[in-house]
Amino acid sequence: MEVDCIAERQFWRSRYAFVMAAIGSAVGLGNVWRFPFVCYKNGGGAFLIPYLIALFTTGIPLMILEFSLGHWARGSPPYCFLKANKKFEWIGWFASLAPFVIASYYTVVMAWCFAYMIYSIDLRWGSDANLFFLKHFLNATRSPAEIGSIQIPVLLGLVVVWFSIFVILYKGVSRIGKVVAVTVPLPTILLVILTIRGLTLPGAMEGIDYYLTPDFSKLSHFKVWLSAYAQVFFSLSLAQGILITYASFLRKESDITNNAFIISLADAGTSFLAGFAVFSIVGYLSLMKGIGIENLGLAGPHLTFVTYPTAISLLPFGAWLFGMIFYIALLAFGIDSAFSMIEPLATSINSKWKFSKGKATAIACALGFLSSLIFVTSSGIYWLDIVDHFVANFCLVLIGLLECISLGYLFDLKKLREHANEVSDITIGRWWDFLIKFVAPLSLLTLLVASVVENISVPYNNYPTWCLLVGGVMPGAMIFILSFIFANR
Amino acid sequence: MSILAIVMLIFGSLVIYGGLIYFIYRALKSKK
Repeated sequence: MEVDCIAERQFWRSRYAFVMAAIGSAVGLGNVWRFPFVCYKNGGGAFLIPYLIALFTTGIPLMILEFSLGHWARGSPPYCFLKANKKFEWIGWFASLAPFVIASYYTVVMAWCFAYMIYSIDLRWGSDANLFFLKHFLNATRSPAEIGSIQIPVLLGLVVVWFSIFVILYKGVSRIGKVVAVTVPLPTILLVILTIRGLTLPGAMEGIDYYLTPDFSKLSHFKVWLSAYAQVFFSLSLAQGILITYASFLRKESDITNNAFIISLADAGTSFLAGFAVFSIVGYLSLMKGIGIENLGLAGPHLTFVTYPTAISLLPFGAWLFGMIFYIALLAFGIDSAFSMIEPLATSINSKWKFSKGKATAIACALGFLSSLIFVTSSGIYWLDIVDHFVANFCLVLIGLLECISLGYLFDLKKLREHANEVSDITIGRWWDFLIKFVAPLSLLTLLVASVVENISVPYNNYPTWCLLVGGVMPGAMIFILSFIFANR
Repeated sequence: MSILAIVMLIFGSLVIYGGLIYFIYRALKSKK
């Protein structure tokens, strides 16, 4: 049985440090390369309606739930679930291991950003950013089955990223507080600069039109609502043990509910702003190249490493500077999310096996670095795509569902509500119980079923079945089994 | 920019940034 020593636990130096750390964790690459595209694809400005409804009916209630659990139980995620019910410890391990898997490829994308930040100096991608990214930079093979060799520039970037994570985490939350004081406001300021620059370019307004002109007919599509709930769920760092861990470092009298509102709205605000930075420059690129916006890569790595660099190269002046600003912003957005994904596992190791915080962090970072190596090979981009798809759509949604069921039905949820109300300025009523017991699990269950149906009917991106089993099913199954093993040791 | 896009811009900004400012104000007022 795990025992957490509260006396030895560190605390956030201030409310500001906690809020910034949680915002840093929630705001990441997805706010820039996912939200604007999802918004455009699902009815433009009309998407804001289901998105905000999802935020207030599932995102914020789940965040309050995780904060309340962490603050009430005061321990690592496995300990918090154990305190709720001794049979639940494995859920905490599951929630700590899932973000660790995500960090293994998330850090590789950051390594790409790191390399591109340096390449921005001489706009190394030249006139064909797509060719440069896939052939010269990644040396991508034709399928995940051809593993290929390790790409040295990516590996060097990866070493820098993992070393940074270790340095930030090994001293505990006091250092995290100092780091996020810079890495949260800085990229937001840079994003504002990029937005202003983007809006002053010809064609920018056409881009913004694509982003925001509402198509209200899409609100009758079930898939649009599903996308809204998925966007909110994946963006807020929910079901990853992160918010539970961070809240466990709050002082006894710290606020929970108001903080959850601030953090969620700051995350939504960054996503909304990022849409202007992305679509203004995409509008400019569309005008300069004479290509329809819908035919440009508007999401994921293609947006970041092909579309955006192409547009940057076409800027009339200061192209290198805006390239650097873009990739520094991504790195700063990403680093807070990356280290927050390691923190739950490091805290859990520290708590369960009584390793020092430094040693537990070193173990987690070393294992994370080794897990990242497959994504540094020439086939890494495919494996990254596969693992991301399955871990996010299955593991995280399943953990969210387990949280709702275990705490909503097999535990006295009222205890957590009363705990949150005792310390918070804003009190929550029984409506919160209803959202946790019915609305959140129903939306997560729908997401899970939709993912299962979609993946059974068509193999994801037409990858070979064995690749989907190895890259998709195996990591999920492994962390699921490990959760039980760790919980029973 | 189309009128509808401007309407959605105002709507999104009001709810998201207005809400954010309101909750930050409450946090500052509480002095916790």
